[in-house]
Amino acid sequence: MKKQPIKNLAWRCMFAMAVMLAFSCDKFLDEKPNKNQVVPAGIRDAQALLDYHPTMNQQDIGAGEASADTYYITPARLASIAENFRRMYTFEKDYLFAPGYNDWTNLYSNIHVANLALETLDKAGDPAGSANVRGQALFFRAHLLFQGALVWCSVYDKADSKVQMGMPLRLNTNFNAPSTRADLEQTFAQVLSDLRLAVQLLEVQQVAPTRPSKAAALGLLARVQLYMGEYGEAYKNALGGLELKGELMDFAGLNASAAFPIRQLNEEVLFESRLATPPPMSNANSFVPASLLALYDADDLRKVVLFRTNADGSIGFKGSYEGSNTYFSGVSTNELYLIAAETSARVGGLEQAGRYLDRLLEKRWRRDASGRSLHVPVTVSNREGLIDRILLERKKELLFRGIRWMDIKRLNRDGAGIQVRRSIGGVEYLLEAADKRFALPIPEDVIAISGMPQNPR
Amino acid sequence: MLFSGMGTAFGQLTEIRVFDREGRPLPAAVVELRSVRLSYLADSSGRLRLKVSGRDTLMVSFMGYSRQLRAVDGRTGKLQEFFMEESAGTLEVVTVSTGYQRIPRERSTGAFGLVDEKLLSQQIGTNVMDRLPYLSSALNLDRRGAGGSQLSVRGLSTIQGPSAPLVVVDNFPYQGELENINPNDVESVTILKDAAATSIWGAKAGNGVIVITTKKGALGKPFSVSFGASTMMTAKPDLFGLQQMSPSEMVDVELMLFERGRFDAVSPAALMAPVSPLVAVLRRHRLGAVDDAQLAEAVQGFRDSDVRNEFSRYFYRNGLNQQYSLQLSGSADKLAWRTSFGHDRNSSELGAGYQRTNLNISALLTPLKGLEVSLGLLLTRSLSTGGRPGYGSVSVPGGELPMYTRFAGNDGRPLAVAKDYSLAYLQGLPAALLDWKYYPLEDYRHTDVSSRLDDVLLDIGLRQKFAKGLQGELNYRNQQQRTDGENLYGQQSYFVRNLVNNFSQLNAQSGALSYKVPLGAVLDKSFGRRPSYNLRGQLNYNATIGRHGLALMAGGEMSQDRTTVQRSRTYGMDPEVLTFSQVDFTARYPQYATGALGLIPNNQAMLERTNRFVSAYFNGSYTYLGRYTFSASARRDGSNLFGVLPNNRFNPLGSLGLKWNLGAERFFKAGWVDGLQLKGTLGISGNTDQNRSAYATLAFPASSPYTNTPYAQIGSFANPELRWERVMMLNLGADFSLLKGRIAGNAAYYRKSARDLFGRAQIDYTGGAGESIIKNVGRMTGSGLELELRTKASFLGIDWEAGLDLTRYRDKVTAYYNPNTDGSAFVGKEIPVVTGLVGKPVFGVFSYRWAGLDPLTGDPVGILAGAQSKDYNAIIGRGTSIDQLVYHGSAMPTLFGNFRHTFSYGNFSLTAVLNYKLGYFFTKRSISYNSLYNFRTGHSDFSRRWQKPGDEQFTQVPSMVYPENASRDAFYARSEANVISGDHLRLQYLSMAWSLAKQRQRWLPVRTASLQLNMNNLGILWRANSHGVDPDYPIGSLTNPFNVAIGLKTNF
Repeated sequence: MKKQPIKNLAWRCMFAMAVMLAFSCDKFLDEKPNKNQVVPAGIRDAQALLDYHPTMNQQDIGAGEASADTYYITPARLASIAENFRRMYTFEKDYLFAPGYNDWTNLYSNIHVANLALETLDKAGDPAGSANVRGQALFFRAHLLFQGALVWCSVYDKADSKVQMGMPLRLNTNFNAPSTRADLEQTFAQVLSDLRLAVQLLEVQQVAPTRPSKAAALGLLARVQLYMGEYGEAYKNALGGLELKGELMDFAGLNASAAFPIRQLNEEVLFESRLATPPPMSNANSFVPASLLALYDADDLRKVVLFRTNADGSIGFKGSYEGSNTYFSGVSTNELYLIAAETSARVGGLEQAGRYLDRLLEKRWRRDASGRSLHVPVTVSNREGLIDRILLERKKELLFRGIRWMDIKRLNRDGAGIQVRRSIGGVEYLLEAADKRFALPIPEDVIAISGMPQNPR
Repeated sequence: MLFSGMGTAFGQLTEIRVFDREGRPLPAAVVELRSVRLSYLADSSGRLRLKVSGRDTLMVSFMGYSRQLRAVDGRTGKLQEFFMEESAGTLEVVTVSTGYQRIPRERSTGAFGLVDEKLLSQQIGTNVMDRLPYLSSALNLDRRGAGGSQLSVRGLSTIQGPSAPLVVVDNFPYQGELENINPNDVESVTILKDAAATSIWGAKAGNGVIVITTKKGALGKPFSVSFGASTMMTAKPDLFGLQQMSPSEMVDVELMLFERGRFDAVSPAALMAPVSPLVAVLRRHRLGAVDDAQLAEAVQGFRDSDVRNEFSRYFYRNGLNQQYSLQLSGSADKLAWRTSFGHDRNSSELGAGYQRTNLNISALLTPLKGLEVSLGLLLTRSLSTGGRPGYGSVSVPGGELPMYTRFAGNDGRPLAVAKDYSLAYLQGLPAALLDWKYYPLEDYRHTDVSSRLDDVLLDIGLRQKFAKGLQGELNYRNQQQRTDGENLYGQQSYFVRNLVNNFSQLNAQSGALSYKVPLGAVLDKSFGRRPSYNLRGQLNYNATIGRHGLALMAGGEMSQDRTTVQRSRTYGMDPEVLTFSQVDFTARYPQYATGALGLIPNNQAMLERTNRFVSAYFNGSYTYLGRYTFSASARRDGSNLFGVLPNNRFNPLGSLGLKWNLGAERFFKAGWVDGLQLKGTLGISGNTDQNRSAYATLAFPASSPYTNTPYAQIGSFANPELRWERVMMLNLGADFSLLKGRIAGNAAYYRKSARDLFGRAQIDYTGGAGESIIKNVGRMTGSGLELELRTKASFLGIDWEAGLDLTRYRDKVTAYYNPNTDGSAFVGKEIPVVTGLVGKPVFGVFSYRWAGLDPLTGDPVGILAGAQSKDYNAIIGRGTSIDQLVYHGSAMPTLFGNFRHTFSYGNFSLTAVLNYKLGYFFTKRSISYNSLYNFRTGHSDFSRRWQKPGDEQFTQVPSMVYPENASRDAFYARSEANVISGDHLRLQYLSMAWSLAKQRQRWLPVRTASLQLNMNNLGILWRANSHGVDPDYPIGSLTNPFNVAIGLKTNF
C-alpha cells in the first residue's frame, strides 16, 4: 500500500507526457531549423534577393565584348588561357563556353532570382508598397535578357525578327519547365514590356546605384531601342533619363596618373554593374591597339585617363568606372548623352545633336588657364557626317563595357561593314560583317539537355 | 514439445538455475528432459522449476555456450546449478543494446554486430570510433571523399545527404564530437544492421546505427580499482610516397613555359601577380640583372632542392599521444556506482595539441522496491591547439608551392615565398609599409589557434515496476556544450601585415601613410553553445504465460538539439594588456596594391540551428515454445524539417521478423551442431534529404556594403517533386555453433531494394537552378552475404582464436529516370555518382574507350562514332553516350572484411588483424598538363610520358603539349588508361599483450596487470595495381602514418 502513491505519480507522469507528445507536436515542430534561412515572403525578402550584388551586379555577360575589336592579346598570353576562351577569341564556331558553369548559367540564374522576387511580391500583396522592388526585378530581368539577345541571337531587324531565333523566355521559377526559344520579336517585346513597366514603378532616388532607378530604366530602355533602330523612342527615353539625372564627370579634375583614375559609383553612374570578365580581355591580358589610341586628340584627356602605357610601350585600359581592373557595364549618363546625340542626329535636329555631344566632350578635354574646355564645339554640316562623328565618339567613350559589341552588330545591320580581325602568330582570323558567328553558339550542353535548336553555324 | 515454467502440482519439483561462468544468470536457457524429449525454457533470471520423476538426464543449452548434460534424480529435489562454458569467439557477450533496450541476442530477430570490450581494447588510441572499422563485418571505412573518411554500415543506403551512421551513446544519440568519449569507458559497441534493428531508430537510422554502451556499476559487485596508461608514437608521414613529380622536372616545365611566354607580363597588374622563384630569376635575367652564370647556378640550386625535404625537416616530427585512466567501482546496499577519470595529452606530427579530461560518474539506486533510479554525469573538457603547417597546407593563390621551394636559406634564415604578390613588386614598395613578404618557416609561430570545449552530459533514468512483467521507464538526457575558439594573428603574422598594408592609404603629396587597419594583433573569436535534451517515456511488458513468451515495448520521445555560434573579430589588439582599436567596417577604402575599393573584413557571424524530433514507437515480440519468435515494430517520426508541407513531416517506418530455433527441435539430429537458429526480418525505412524543400528558401549571408541592408541568396530551390527515398530490406540469418563450440558464428543474407533513390540529376540550367539538382532518379536492388566465423583451438599449450568477417555485396540499378545519358556525367568521378545504366552497379566505374597514343605526336586517341578520334571536345561532350563508355565494375568493394588471429601462450598473446577489399575499381590520378601549367599540380606519371615515337609501346601517358588542352587532359584522365583494380590486403594492426593475474602469479602486487604493445597502419601486404597507389587513398592524400603504442593496465 505504501508504494501506491509513487506508482500513481509515475503513471501520471507517463500519461502527461503521452498527452503532451500527442498534442504539442505540430507547434513543437514549427521551430525553424536554421534562423538564417527563411521562405521568402514580403517586400523585404524580395529586395534582399535583388540586393545580392555579387551575382546581380557583377555577372554581366562579357562574351560579346570579348569578341569585339577594342583590344588584342599576344599569342603568349592567349596560349595561357583556357581553351574555350582561346576559341572565343578566334571566333570558332563551337565550344566557346565551358560546360556547366558559364555566362549562360549566370544569366539564367539571375533571371531566376528576379522571377523569385516577382513571385514573392505577388504573394505579399501590397502592390503600391512593392512597386519599387517590382520595378527593380523587372529591370534586372530585362537587362539580363537583352544581354543574352546581344550575344546568342542575330541582330534585331524588324524585317525578319519574327523568323529569327530569340532567347528562351523564363518568366517564372519553375525550372522543370522545358526550354524553348522564343522568336526575336517576342524576346524584344518581353524586354521592352519589362522595362516600360519598370519605368513606371521605379523610384527616382534609390539608396545606392546597385538598385536601378527610374533614370537607369529609361537609360536602358533607350539603349535597347537604339539597338532595335527605334530612334524616336530611344531619343525620348534618353532625354527622360537625363532630365532626372544628367551630371557629368569633369576629367580635368581627375588624377590621370593614378592606377585607376575613375572612381566607382561616380556621379555619372545611373546603375552600377560590372562584367564577368572573360580571360582574353582581362586587364592583365589585353592591350588596346595603337590605332585606337590614335583616334584621340592630344588635348583629349581620355587619352591619359582611360589608357596607360606599359613598360614595353604597349597600351592598356585603365578607365573603367569600377575604379579597378574590372569592367563597368552598367548605365551611365555619358552613354545617354551619346544616345541623345545619335538619335537626335538620325531623326531630329542636328543642332541639338551637336549640343548633346559638346556637353559631353567639354568635360573630357583639357582646360585652358582660365578654366575653359579646349574642346572645339562640333560643326554641323550634314547628317551623315554628324552621325559618323557621334559614332566615333561612342567608340572612344564607351570602351570595355559591352557597348561596342552591340554597336558593331547594329551598325552592320545598317550596312557599316565592320569586320573584326585577329592575328595570332601570322594566322588571320576574320569575323565578316554578315557572319553567322555574330550569334555565338549556345553552350553545347544546354542544347544537349534541352533539345533547343543551336544557332546556325 | 517444450513446456515452460511450472511442473505439475503433484510430484517433486526440481529447481534448476543456469548461469554463465561468472555466475550471471542466463535468461531463457533451454532445458531438455531427455527421457521424454520435452524442452523447457528458463525465465529471465535463468531459473526453472521442473517436475523430474525418478532418474533422468537434463540437457541445458544456450546459444554461444557448450551444451551440458547431467544425470539427476528427481526424488532428491536437489537444486541443480549449471555453469555454462562459452563456446567460441565473440559470443560471450550475448546482450545487445539497441539504445531502447538491452536484449539477449538469443531473443532478437534482428541482425546485430557486436564489438566487445576485449576486442576494442586490442587497440590503443584517443578516439573510440577509430578502432571500429576492422572489428565488424558490417562496417566499412571509405576514405575517398574529400571530407575525410566515412564509416558506413552495410554499404551506402543513400546517395545524397549525410551518409554517416547514427551514433547512440547509451540511451540517446550523441550530439557532438565522438572524440569526446573516453574509450576506457566503453563496454561494448553494437551495430544495428537490418531493418528490424534500425527501424527502432526511425528516420535518423537510414545509414545504420552504432550503439555505444558505457560501463556502469552493478549491484553486488565488490569494490574495484583499475588504472591504465598508454603512450603512442606516430611516425612522420612519408612525403616521398606521394606521387609527385620531381623538382628537376618542375624546373624543366617552368623553363619551357617561360620560353613560350607564359609568364610574359607588362601591365602593372600582371607584374604584381606572384610568380615562382625560378620565373622571378628568369625575369631578372631577361632584364640583365642576372648574368648567365648566376642563372645557371640558381637553376641548379632549384633542381637540388625539394619541398618535401623542407616540410620533413622543419615541420614534421614524431607525434606523441599519452593516455591515463583511473576507474573505481563498487556497490552497497541499494546502490551501485562507478566513477572514472581519463586524461589524454596528444601532440601530432605537426605539433598540434589535443588535451582531453573526462570525469564520468554513474550510479544506480534502488530506493524502493520496484523502483530503479540511474544517474549519470559525464564531464569533458578539451583543448585543441594549432601546430605547424602540413604538406599541401602552405597555399599560394597561384596554385601549389613549386616542388623546389625552400623555406630556409643555407644560413638557416627564413626565405620568403611569393603569396599574393610577386617579390619583385614588393621590393619596389615604399619602406613605410610593413614587410609584405610571407615566410612559411616562421609564420605559424605568429598565429595562435586554440579551441576549448566544455561538455556536461547528465542522464537520469527512472524505472518503475508496476505489475508483474510491466515496467515503466522514463529517461532524460541533458547535454550542454560550449566551444570557445580563438585565432590570434600576431602583428608579425602575414595575415595581419597583409591586411594592414592593403588598407594603408598613401598620401600622394606628403608620402605619409595612414592605417585604416590598425597595427596590432587581430583576434578572431568564436563562441558556440549547443544545448540539447532528449526525453523518453516507455512501457515494457515481458511475460511468459505457459508456452507463450511476450515482450512488448512502446513509447514516445522528443528531442531538441540547438546550436548557436557567434563570431567576432577585434583589430589592433595588444594581447598582453587587452587593448584594441576601432575600425570602420562601413567605409570602402582603396586597397594599396590594386586601388579597388574594399571593405575591411569584419568576420562577424551569428547562426542558430535547431533540430527537433518527436517520435512514437512500438516494438513487440512473441515467442512460442521458445523456438518460434515473431516480432514487429513500427515507428513514426516527425521533425521540424524546413520548407516541408506539414503532412510530409511525419514518416512511418516498420518491420516484421521471424525466428526459429531449429537446433532446439527434437527432429534436429545433427550431432555436430550445438545450436542453430534461423531468423528473418523484413522492414521499410526511408531517407529524406535534409535540404529538400517544397519552397525556395533564402539564406542571409551578410549585408550589402552598398545599401547597408541584409542581402539574400537562394538557399535551396523549390523542389516540390522530391519524395522520400524508400528502402525495403530483407534479412535472412543463421546463428550457429558447431563441433562442441569450436566454431561459432553467424551468416546473413540481405536484400535491399530502394525506390525513388536520390541522385544528382543534370538539368537544363536555363531554368536558373544550376546544372544539377537532387531528384528521385531511380531504383536499385542490392544483396549481400555476411559471414562471421569464430573459431578456437589449442595445440601444445598455444591457444588460437581466429575471427573471419566476410561480406559479399552486389547491387544494381533497376530503373533510371534521368534523361541525360551523356557519358561525361558518369566518368572519372572520384566521389562516385549514381550509375545511369540499368543493370549496372549503383556506383560503377566507367571510362572513355582508349585507343592508345598517337605514335607520331603522343596525343591520346579516343573513339568517336566507332572510329579513332582526337576530337576531345566531342568525346567528352555530346559525342559519347553512357552506353559507349567502357564499364569496369563496381566502385565499391564487392568482397571485403577482416581476418583476425590471436595466439596465446601462457600469459602472452599476439593478435594480428588483416583487412581486405576486393572486386572493385577506381580511377587513379595521372598528369594533367592543364593543372600543371595553371596550378603547378604535378604527378609522377610525368616522367613516364610519351617523348618520342616508339614510346607509345610502353607508356600510356600522353606527351606534353603547349598550349595545354583541357579537354585532352580530361579525356585522358577519365579514359580506360587510368582505371585500375582497387583490390588489396592490408595488415591493419598487430597487438601483443602480456597479462598477469595474482591467482597465477602470486608475487603480483595487484590483482591483474597487463602490458600491451601495438603497431598500427602497417601497410599494404598485397595490391592488385602495379602503380603503387593505395586504393584507400585514390586522390593521393597522405596515408595514415605508422604508429606504435605501449599500454599498461592494472586492476587492484
